[in-house]
Amino acid sequence: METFFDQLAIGASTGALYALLALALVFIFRATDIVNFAQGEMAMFNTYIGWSISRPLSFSWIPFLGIERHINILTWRPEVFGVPLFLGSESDGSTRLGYLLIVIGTVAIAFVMGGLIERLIIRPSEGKNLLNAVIVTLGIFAIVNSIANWRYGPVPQTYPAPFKGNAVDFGLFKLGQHSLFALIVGLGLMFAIYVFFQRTRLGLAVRAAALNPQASELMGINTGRMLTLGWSLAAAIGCLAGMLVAPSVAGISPNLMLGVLLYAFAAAVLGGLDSALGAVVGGLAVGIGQSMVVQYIGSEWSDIVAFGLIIGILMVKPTGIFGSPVVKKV
Amino acid sequence: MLEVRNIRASYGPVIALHDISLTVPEGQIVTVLGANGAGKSTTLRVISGLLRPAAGSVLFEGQPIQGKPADWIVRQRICHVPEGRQIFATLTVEANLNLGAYSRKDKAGIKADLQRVFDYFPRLAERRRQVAGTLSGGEQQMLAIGRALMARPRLLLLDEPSLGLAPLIVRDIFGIIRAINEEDRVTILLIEQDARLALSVASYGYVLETGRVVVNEPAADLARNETVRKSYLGY
Repeated sequence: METFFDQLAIGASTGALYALLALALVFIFRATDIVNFAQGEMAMFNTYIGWSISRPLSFSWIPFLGIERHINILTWRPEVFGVPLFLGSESDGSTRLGYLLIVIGTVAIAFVMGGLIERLIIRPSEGKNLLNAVIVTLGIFAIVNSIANWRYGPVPQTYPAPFKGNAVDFGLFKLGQHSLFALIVGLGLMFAIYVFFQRTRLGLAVRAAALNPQASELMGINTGRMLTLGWSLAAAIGCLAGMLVAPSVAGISPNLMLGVLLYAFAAAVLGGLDSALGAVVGGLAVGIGQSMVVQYIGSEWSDIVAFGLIIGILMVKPTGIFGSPVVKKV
Repeated sequence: MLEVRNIRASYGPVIALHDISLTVPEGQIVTVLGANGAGKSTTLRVISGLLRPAAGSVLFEGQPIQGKPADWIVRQRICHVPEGRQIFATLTVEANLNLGAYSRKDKAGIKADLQRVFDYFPRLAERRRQVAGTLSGGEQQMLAIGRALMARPRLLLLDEPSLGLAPLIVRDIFGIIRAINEEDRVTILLIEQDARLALSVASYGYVLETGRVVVNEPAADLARNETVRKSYLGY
């Protein structure tokens, strides 16, 4: 029985990451009717950027920050639970950016990149046929994957994790520190996303622009800007998911998000591609389901069950559990 | 206040407006009449920035505004209640009204205007937490007008507010349109299929046919002009 609860906990933790990526897919689908196949690869690439800036600082990297190593001007190094926030010293005497700085920097870059992709690539290709834009996202998928292979190579690199100690024992189940961290951050982000869309003026405007672009313009909403913001947010959320996935697998590699994206797709389809709640429920269900299948049936069945699920749902209930029936506007 | 001069506009290869000119003086209700496809809605779409005209100009208080983006035009406080209402069906009544005030930042003023909208349309106050798609047709029209009022318009563009509504509700809504004009001093450009009704509230009227103005005169004269009534207004 203990194994069952262990698997439940670890499944919920992976599921939270699927849910985040599924939410990113849902945002973009709701706003533009585009299924963004590049979501996972964008996240992977941004995660690599996080990896680059997490390496030991040196003169050659950023001269300005490298100076610090030698004259030690910056002595303020706050830590939370033993995790350096801004700057940390390694045992070999080198200095690295703290986890918080890495996260902030990476997410900021992801945010900008997501917006640029929408503006420069998606919008011009969207016009006549939705299928064009979907194929463009497939193209971005392939290109980004190739660039990562060329730039960083296929070998997985260890990825910084703030908490890597022993599993925490909750009595009923044990959960690794990183998985616990991922679960908490995942759930926290979902709550933040909920608050943004339900309680803020800007969040309401993003939803309105997705619902009815023309009416939104008549409200004074710049719908183009809302679309860009939607892609930026989706990229930032995907990137956070990627940064949480990397330490829990072998490390970061160009194929980091392939599996995750497929499971996030399963989650989004299960919940209904246009439902944020569906993405969350679907993500957790797929994560827990996967972990149970691996434990009790066999890991080779994991993909079969996930994609059997996608195909089955599309056949029986194409709108997913929480999706709204398709209403075509004339 | 608003002057439309020789507007020409098309949807792709289809020319919708050949040559439209009209004037809306401050504080008045002006109506645009005509059959389906005459170009009434297109004229409003050009004014509110949803459609870029091929030629001609739109002057708002003497300043050219043609071809400016719709969200900019709203900030000049020209508000368009579009054909078919275009409410946000899956959002609540209150969220719809808040979106109407998106172009403003004065919290106190927005709150006061929300109260004003609820005074005009008590049914919206009762249903403020209800999802807008579940409202009746009349209530949705009230919401569409209320939402436009939340931007505190100086010029209100109304596209067929009576469309598909029961006569009693139409009477209510037209009473409120008159009140918005008289009490809030909002200038109104009204498109209406029910010519008799429109002419009863308007001071001046234009009749369009296939993208051109064929008649324009004071509303009272239009209502008396039997030839116009029979050939263009159908009553």
